[in-house]
Amino acid sequence: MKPSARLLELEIEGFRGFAHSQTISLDADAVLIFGGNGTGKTSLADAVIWALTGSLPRLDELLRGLRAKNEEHISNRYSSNQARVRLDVQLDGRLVRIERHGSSEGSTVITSVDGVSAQQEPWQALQAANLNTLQMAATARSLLAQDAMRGVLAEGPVELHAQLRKILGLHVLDKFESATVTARAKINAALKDVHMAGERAKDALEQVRRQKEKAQAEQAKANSEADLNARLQQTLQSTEIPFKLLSAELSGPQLITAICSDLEMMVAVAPALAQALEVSASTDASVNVDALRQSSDAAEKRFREASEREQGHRQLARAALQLLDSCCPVCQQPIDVSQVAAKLNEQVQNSASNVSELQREYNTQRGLLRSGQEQAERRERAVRALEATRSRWQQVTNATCVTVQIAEEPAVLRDLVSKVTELTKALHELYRQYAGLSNASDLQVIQAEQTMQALVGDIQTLWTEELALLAHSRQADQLVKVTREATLQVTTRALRRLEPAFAEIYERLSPHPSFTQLGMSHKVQYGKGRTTPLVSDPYSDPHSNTNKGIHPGIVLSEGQLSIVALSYFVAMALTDSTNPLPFLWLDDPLQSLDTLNVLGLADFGQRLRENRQLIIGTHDRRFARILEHKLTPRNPGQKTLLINLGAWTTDGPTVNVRTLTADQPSSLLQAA
Amino acid sequence: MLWPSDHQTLQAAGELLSGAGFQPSTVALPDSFAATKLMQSPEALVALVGSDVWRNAAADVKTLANVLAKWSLEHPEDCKSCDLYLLVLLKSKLSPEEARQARLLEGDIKHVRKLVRTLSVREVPSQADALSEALRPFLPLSSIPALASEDPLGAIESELSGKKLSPELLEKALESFRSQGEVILT
Repeated sequence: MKPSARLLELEIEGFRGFAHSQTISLDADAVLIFGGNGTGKTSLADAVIWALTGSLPRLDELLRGLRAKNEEHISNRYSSNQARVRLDVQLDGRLVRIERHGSSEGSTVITSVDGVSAQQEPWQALQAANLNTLQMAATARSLLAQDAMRGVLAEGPVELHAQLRKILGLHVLDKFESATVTARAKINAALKDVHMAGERAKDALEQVRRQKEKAQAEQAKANSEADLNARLQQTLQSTEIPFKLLSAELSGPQLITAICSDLEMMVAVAPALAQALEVSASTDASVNVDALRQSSDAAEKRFREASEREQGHRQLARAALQLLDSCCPVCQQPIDVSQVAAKLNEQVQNSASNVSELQREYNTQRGLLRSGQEQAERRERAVRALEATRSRWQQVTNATCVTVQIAEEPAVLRDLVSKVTELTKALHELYRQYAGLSNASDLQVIQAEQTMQALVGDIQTLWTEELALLAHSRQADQLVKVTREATLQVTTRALRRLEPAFAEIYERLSPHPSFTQLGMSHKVQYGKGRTTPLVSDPYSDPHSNTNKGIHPGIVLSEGQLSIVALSYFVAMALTDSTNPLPFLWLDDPLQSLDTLNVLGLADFGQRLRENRQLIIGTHDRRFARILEHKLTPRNPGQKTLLINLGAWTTDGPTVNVRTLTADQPSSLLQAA
Repeated sequence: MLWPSDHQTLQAAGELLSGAGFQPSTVALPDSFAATKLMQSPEALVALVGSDVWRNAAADVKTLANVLAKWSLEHPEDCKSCDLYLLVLLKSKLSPEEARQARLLEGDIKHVRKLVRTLSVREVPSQADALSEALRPFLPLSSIPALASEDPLGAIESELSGKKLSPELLEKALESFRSQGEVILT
């Protein structure tokens, strides 16, 4: 089958290692690119990929883990221009031209078909379905990069299976499978949430139930009058108040209320009683008003009498003085008028002094009487008040349920009142506790019942929801399981179709004398599809692993493993009829290969070029000479180009393109 | 051992190569190599040697390789661009020592590329396949079947429909995936 499509020409400017514009012909069914390391072999492959897809997955992947991930990696470092790559492709007899400008920031592309602007993205012009397909086609099925070559085998079975599925264009199955797993995870997460919510509701219900039981116990306890009476007796007994309960009819809260009422009345009466006691105590009970009155009366009488006498003396003296003459009228004896007058005045004065003294005495006696009378009156009032308060106290206590022996001393009374007040407080507290607990317990029970009803409703709802989700989860489990099996079946079917191609290419390259067959095993393990490459020795014991197949990494050398990878890659490239890209580009595939491997590859290349444009890059001069010889055209219609890259400077490498002809020396093997 | 004679084996091999564009070579070999079959194409001159066991072939192979090399050097115009191959077709399995010797022989690529292939332990119906495998390097690529461009989701739907799965669930899963890119089951 002659390839009807090929890459024709590549023009590169300002791209990667190419600063200046270089136009490189690729118009041949076999192209050999030779150049030392760093001369731009890989840049040529990158240029094709970038022109087709606008990106370089190889470098994107490399830069992803680096800090400078936005580092420019498309444009040439020594060119002020943006990168430009023009790629001419011959496709079904038409010339497709793809010209891309840009940098790693972004790019624009112009596509034309037979010189007419296609107004299409290149992948449309190349009849590819979409960019992913083209990238896959370009990177995974058309261009084998040296690093990616071994990656297929270096991955584990799971990754290899996934990668092969991706390469085979079955990655939508991965997405579907992944979507089923995600759907199951979502359902299971919802199931877990609902289950946890249910468990929380059950815990809450249990907690509320316990609270209700506790409240009911408190309720029962609080509602017990016997308990209350016991606590009342305990409280009463703990006081030092000399009282006694009078009522046998009351008990419990009623009794507490009555006692408190009585005690509060006592406390209310107590100040008056205390005052009465104090007043009573302060009055002199020995005061004799009658005696005082008699003394006062007697003093008054003496005072009155003395006053009258003094008045008589004064009148008598006055009359005598009027009659007094210098001689006695009777005897005519001389009379000392002044002396007599002095005597009379003296007597009058004496009498007046006596009156004054008696008057003072009288006044004193009258004051004592008034004081005595006041004291007597005050005492009488105190006694009456005391009697009244005593009567009130007795009235208060005797009328109800409790009586407290009255205290006759104010200090004792104050102490008693203080104790009564404390007792009243204690009884009030007892009552408050009783009433409060009872009410709180009732409320708690009611609230608990309401909460429990709500929680039971919630639990039933959650349970229904959980059952539904459980059913969904089982369905999702089943879907995930059968999807895995089905995707494995679909993938295995596709890979089985490839196996003859794997085997044939491996046999052609024949890297190992005993392990001459290459295959694969596919299975689902731990829920994941796994693909394991196998090499086998068909001539060994049929029951041995050597015959059944063993991982090539165990028995093959590095170079031989490269042949295995190459076999897989080329087989997939050749069997993919949907790949629109008309070339097979092996970028330095010869590393680790020995001469025999290279000779096998070169022989194989002669066959490959019959199916697809073959482009091989190598840095090894010896291998380049082998390939040059092997790929030299022998048949009519064949054409081989040798692109020699060298002398790289900041302008780019020198590019020397030579067309190989059949007129080549046959000294290759000698040279080798 | 059901293999035919060396002559018949080489005859069958020659026919296979003829189908791949080879022609019998006109190069004259010494009489001692009369049983050797020479086939030539623009790329290669292939000498086919058949033998039941390695020891019978080992000594002759080196001599034959030298003869071919001498011929190519003496007649460069007749074999200007073709490579020389010597393919030994053995009908019995190599012992480890024989395999080592065969590998050494293959590693000597001076003048002539030597290939040793074993045809043993294959059943009669597979003899043609075994011969084709041995001649692989000289035959065109087989007609490699193209991967069917089937709709993967269609294929998975077809696979899943045979599984223990509710049809409604499958339809819901695929429909939601096709329309929204995610599987919605609830």
